[in-house]
Amino acid sequence: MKTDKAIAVDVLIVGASLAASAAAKRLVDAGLDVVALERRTLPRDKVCSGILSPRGHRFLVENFGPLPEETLHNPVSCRGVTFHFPSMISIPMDFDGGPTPHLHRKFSDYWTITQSGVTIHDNTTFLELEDTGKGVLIRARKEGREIRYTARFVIGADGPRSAVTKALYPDYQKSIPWFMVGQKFQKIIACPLDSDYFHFWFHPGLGHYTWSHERNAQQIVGVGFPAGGNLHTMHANVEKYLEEKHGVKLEPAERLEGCTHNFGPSLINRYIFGKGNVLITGQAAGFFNMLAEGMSCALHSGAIAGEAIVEAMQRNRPVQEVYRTLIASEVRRCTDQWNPVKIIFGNPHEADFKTAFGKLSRKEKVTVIRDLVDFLKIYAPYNWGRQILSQSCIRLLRGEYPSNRWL
Amino acid sequence: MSFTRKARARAMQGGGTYEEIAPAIDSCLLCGACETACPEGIELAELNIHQRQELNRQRTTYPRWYPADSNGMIDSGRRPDEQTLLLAGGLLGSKQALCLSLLEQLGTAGKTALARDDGQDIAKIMEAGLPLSPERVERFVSSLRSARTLIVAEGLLHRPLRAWLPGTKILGPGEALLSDASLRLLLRPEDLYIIEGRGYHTDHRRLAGFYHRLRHETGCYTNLDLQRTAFSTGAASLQGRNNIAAAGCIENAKRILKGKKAGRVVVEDLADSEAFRLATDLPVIHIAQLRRGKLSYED
Amino acid sequence: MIETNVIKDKAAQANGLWNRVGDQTNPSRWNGEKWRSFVDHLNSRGVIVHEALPDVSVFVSDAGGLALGMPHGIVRPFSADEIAEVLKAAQIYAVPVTTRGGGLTTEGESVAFGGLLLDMSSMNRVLAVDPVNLTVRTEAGIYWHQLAETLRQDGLDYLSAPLNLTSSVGGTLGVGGIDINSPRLGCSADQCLALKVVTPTGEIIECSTTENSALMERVLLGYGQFGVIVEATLKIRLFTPIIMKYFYYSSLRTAMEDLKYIAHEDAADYSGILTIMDRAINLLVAFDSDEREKEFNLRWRRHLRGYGEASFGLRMAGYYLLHPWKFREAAYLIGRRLTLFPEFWKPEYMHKGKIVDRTVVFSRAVWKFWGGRKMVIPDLAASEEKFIEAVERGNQVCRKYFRHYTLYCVGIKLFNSRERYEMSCIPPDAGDIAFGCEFEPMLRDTDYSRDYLQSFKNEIYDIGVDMGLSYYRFGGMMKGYIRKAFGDDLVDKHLALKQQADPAMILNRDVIF
Repeated sequence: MKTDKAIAVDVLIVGASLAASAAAKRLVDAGLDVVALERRTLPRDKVCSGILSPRGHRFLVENFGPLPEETLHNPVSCRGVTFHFPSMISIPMDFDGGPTPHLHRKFSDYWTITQSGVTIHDNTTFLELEDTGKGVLIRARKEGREIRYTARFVIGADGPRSAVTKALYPDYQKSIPWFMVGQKFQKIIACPLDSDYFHFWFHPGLGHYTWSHERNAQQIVGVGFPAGGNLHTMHANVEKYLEEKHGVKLEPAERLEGCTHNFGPSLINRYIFGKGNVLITGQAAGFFNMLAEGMSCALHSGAIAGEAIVEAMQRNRPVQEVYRTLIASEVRRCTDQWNPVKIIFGNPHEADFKTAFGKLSRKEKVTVIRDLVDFLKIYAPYNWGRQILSQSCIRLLRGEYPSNRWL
Repeated sequence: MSFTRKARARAMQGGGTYEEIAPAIDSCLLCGACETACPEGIELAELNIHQRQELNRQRTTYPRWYPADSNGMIDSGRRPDEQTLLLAGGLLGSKQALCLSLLEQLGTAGKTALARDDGQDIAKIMEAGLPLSPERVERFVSSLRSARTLIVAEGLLHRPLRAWLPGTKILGPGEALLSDASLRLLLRPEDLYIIEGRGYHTDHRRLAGFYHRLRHETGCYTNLDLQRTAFSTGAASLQGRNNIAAAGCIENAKRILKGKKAGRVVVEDLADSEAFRLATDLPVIHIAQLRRGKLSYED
Repeated sequence: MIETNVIKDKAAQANGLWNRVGDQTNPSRWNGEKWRSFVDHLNSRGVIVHEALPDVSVFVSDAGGLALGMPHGIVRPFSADEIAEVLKAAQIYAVPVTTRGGGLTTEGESVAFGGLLLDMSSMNRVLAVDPVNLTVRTEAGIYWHQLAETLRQDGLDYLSAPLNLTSSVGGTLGVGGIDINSPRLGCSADQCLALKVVTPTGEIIECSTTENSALMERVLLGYGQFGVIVEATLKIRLFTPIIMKYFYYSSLRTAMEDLKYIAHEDAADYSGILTIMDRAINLLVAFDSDEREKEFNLRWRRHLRGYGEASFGLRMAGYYLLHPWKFREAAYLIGRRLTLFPEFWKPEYMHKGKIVDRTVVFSRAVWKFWGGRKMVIPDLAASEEKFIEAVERGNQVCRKYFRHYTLYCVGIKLFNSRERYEMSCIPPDAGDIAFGCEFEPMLRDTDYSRDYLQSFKNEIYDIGVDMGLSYYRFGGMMKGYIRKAFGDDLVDKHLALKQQADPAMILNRDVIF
């Protein structure tokens, strides 16, 4: 491979998705010279429900402007979430603050990264990095040629299977549980499920994460389970269940998508934020909202990573220190969603489960709680329960989650 | 180029180099007025000196006003036993009669002596941000160790002396003299009293009170603004000493005089008297001449 | 492929997707098209444009410290002609121009997201003082403290200025400007008699209440949309020290009722509320003369329900003895009391029990105790009827987000329905007097991310939308809220005026439209 002279930038962002766009926005606004590396050709496809939380919606509009038509699927918006239980109780809940956009990730991500004003180097694969203390040397590959960069800081915003994380902590990804998530697209024959809502099943017999919603006249049925399982078997089981119990009739699948997720770190406050001059953010850092919505916390944590670099430069402080201080609010918000104290006494979610739950009859309430407990049992092997409880106690006493559990 | 302290900080944060902001660094007369305005209480004059040091590390040519030799006056370092020492500094040091007069007025039972080593060379080197020899500082400091009170004409030395000699009282000649009530009586309402800014701003909280009382007792004008910051001519700076007009000192003196119906100017720092003489026809005297108004600083 | 800033999909609008969220508040950077030709043009006309990194970095943010943006270049003008050159050229090349005085905005209004920044602080001379008719003519880039300094040489003082004196005269007139004498005198902009304005198309126009009054009404409280204020004539007064008194409350509502009472009765020359959270509420009143104080003591004082410091201290001690788990809050209150109060009673600013330099005392204290690297001060301005509810709701939001915060409330007298009040900080439904409240977290103690602070601001501003209020400093965030707060008809009316005055939409374009 031939090597040219290194390209010098202030900040190199690995990734070009929502977290990368948000970070880029903060950095470019502050007048820094920033490049975003993307493995594929932009715009690129992305496996995602596209259902954004209200907070994420607001962030997009505030920072990137009104969403263009191309960034949306049909139906263009989602009113909320409906929870389904094995006892056949269904609880629809509207999002706080009105409907949110149904994002077409291929174009929404391309729109945000373009709006940020960052210089995009696509078709470029990140290979490795070396932090010299004063800056970072990066090797990447574009169409078989090696490209080198020097940057004062690097932001790893390259998703769950982050190559930057792997470069910093080679063993980390082997140490956490992985979940396979797959969705099939099928033309609708009959679907009584309300197309304004995102549907989620708390059913231990279906999978760890089971959902369905409409997109562009097709129904998406998806299922998540520990990596290693068989998608087709799991999916067929869900499809059968939906037909029998909800009367959903679909034509054979036209398309299949799948990916793996690092579900877990945000539940137990085990985030990974990088070291030295390299910051990890977005889902690569472990941010994941309840119901596996990763976009809003990707946007916010990405923005905080960008902000941290600007502040570190302005105040001449170590960037990790600044990042870890500023990110605390996002950690609180994200991890609070799993915190039983917050769930019972507060309202950590962006749809009001408690009010919807309150409308049920007493008998139904008991049934739903029993169903929920049964469902949570399938997560028992990960031993998250005790960690969630201990983290919740610390949060109660200190007002925040301890930062010493972060990597 | 914006010359304010904050602007310089922003420029550096934005990736500017010391050389790029050299005009701003060199233009500072180190009066210290910015320190009293800083809500965070940052010692900004010190920071300016630090920037000058950094700049000197990068540059090879210096402005014309830079000190020619960095090893000026070196004294034997004899240790006087007196409790109060006068460090006459700069211009005051070169006016012997004025110095003796000042000493006489300060002296309580002959306990005040003139320090042979007034550290003026150290002040100059510090001001220019040039490297200071630790041995030289040690010699200077040890010559002062026995004293309980130092009356230091060079305001720039107040802060370092407080750091080098904790426990020793550091005063400017103005405060030292005017602590004597009979001398305060000699200040008249039509006097414009010019506070030496560099020392004043390093001990602002206390001295603001001191001069507030002085103002109310005597009714005189001062060069304090509404913020109780001393508006300095800058004549004591290296730039001012090199070329008083080019450094803007005469302009500054005129601005201080503006709107005040003063009949006489009384300066704490002899360097200021030259700026005022060039700016006005009013009589200009040094505080040491208050008692014996006829003594001219020329002698 | 993607057309930005266009919502073509009517369905998306119809189904309520866009109703609740605001508009873009962090503008996209201008792309720099034709910048070079613009600079060449200006250079050929003798206008110097500074483009070096150290020059432009100075303006990367404002006092709020949250909005970031870099101009392509800056001009430090020294005359109206120079500004006219800049604006004429900007119209031709469609280059955005942002004006900046003291840079004391908190929502990025004085931050340039690309384009040219006019640093007005270079125009800071006092042109004429008229001690007989009590007016001053000054260049508008001057800071209030410089103006005060000059006026004092003749024993004079300005009438009304923001408590933070490093704001510029021009910037203040553009947004309103609130002082603790605003319940009597109105906002600072209402003290203005005449202006010299450079319009967005580069015309230099003198205006006053009689001459070109329509432009005057557009420019005052006009958020920099209709011209650059170059010179201003302001009413002034003879300088007098002030006598200040404090009353303490533990109920926000009672204090606000008393503040309204004082404003209504014109019982004091100055009045305002400053709190430590909603625990210690300080109603301050002040007087320009002994006579006014005497009258206050005779007629109005007994109607106020506040306590003196000693009895309030005892009550608080009692409260915290009964609520020992709130010891940290008690410690904070005591600490604040011990450090903050001496600042208001510094001997060098006092004479015979009166505050000699309220301007300096307040301004210094504001920076020292409420300032910081970042400042987040969302506010609400309400009619008299809605004021208390607005503050109480805002207070709940503060409680939710921050351990330590301050509320600052003050009345604003209105003079009939001046045209300048339309679509401004003055709430549309206010009668003779409006009230404003700032909600300011004490950020010193903790570092918060910008997004956390943004959520806080949004919640406060949402109260304004919900209750039909305005925002008393009103600026950049309005871009996201203006349509919801004032309705499309009014905004479109002003937008049409703006487009007429500024065809290329270059002047302060990201502030409200």
